[in-house]
Amino acid sequence: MKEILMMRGAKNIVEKCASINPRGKALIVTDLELVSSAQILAQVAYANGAEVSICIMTPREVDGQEPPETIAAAMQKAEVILTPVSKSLAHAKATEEATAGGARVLSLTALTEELMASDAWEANFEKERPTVEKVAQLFTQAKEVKITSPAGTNLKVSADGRKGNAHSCLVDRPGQFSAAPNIEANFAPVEGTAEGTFVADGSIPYLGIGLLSTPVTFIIEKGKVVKIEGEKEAKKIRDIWVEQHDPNVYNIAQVAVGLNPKIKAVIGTLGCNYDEGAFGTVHIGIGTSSTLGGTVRAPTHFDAVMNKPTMELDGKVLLKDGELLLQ
Amino acid sequence: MKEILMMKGARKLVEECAAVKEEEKVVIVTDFNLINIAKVVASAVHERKAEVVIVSMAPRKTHNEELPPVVAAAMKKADVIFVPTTYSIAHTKARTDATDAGARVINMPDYREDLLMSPALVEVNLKAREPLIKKIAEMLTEAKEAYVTSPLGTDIKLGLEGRKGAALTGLIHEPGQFGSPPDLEARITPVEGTAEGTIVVDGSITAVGLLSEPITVTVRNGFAQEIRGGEQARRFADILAKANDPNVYNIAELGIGQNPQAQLNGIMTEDEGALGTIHIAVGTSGAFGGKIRTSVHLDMIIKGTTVKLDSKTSIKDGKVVVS
Repeated sequence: MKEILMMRGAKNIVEKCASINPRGKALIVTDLELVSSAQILAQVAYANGAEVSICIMTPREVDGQEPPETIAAAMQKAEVILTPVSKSLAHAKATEEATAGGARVLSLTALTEELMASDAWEANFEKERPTVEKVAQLFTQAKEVKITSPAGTNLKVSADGRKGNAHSCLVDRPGQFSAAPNIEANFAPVEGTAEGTFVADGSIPYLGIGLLSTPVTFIIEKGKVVKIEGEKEAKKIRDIWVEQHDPNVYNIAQVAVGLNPKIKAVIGTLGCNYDEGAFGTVHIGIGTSSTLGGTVRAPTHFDAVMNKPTMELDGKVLLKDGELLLQ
Repeated sequence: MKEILMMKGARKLVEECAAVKEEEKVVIVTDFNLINIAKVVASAVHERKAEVVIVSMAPRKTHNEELPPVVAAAMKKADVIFVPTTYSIAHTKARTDATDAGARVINMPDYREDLLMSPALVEVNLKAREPLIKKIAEMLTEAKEAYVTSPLGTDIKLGLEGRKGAALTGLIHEPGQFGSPPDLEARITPVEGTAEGTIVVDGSITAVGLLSEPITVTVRNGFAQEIRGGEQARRFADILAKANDPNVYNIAELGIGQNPQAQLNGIMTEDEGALGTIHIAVGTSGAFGGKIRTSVHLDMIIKGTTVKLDSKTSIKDGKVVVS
């Protein structure tokens, strides 16, 4: 009976976030873990009169892994794609190629029944859009970005020449990409420029980790993680990296600010798209950056969230202890 | 819990009919009506360690309506495609594009859960049937004329000259092959305009179901001209009239059932294969070597026939009798 509780979220996703109109042609890409969420989305789209097709695959092993070639081919022909999947397709080549071909993509990683029933979808995405676009524009203009936090983060990256991305959870133009419900503005730092320490004390909503009981510290030199410190979470990440055996997995790929006012804090149980949207948090993406304007493609991309960040763009404060300071 | 009972049939389709190999790219194209069947077939594919993707769409409104472009795109990249859908996709461009690209296609139109449990699928020995089906297909290729009679009064001649017989063996192992197990048959498309005589249908008819009383179809110059009988005959005539196209009356196929486990039950994928029956179809023939294209293809199943080829060999009860 949970379907009933999921209905409002589904309606917001289909009608507001993805702008699927009655004559629209929607493709839902899902895996065997999240078929029930895919089904509710299809139900809303179909009832609205849209043509809806669903591709179901076996769950991928890691975030960022490619979908089967047959699904990639379907995505190439789609007008609008929703991806309720258990492992993120946001940074997959299939997604990059679909958006390059003009498809609108709404990334719905870890869209469980609970997430679809959550309040995060009640955000007024249209109303928040100017704020997200403003922050993205500030990233576009910025040359150097500095992030600090009470937990010990002290990181500098170059944003010089990089374009800020506004992910307002709305995809209404061809080729547009956004994840949802994580309203966020982000950019891919210039490769090789990140220097310092990043302490994740919120969550790492990937790799089966979730809410952090003890912080994970990333020591970063020349744009790459050179050391990771912490308890079992740090060990887990280290082990996965060693197994992936690819220098690009250490790349600092993304700096982002969460901007969904309906998400008050990271909670670790509702997946990456919930935590990454938590208002006033900052997350760092590690791995693939080519989907965000960078040049690196890695076998994975995951994000780590920190609380109460202070962020300066060329010396001007954008965030102060998690509070957004926009003129 | 029916999935448990359906698994044997699903395995038969995956392992024997399609011979799915490890790592092959398999797409199951289905619609929201038949997702349960897709699920069980997907289980059998996954069990086989192949890559399985289910692509589901809203049911089409008629047979052979084109599929959404996203579905067609996925099909083009597949090694093997299973298609449990409400309406047949046999004559869609998506299907011909996929087989042209080398996909093996198992068409499962209007498949029922019961069919996955049916002895017609689960128990039939495909390898053992293959040589005879191929032999009859060859005989059909060589024949200039078929003469079909039955005790109830079927008496019809069909011109076959220059037409090629086809063997539907249920074994879809070569790239580009297409079939609908458990429908095992040898078939041919008669030359347009040549069919002449009377058909007394006493088995079943597509979209009408099992017949409670025989239907008599009079055929002149290759087209059905008159349909007589009871209430079911009227329904059959109505379906054809509604298509509003004279080509739906075209005599499109002669098929000879070759599945000894198949029983007539109104599900055409099983009925058409029933050993001891033959079927004559009206409607489209374009995809089977004929020249007529129209929206329907309806099979009429007839019991107890003798099919004489060029007044020489006969096929009686599905077996070859040399006179």
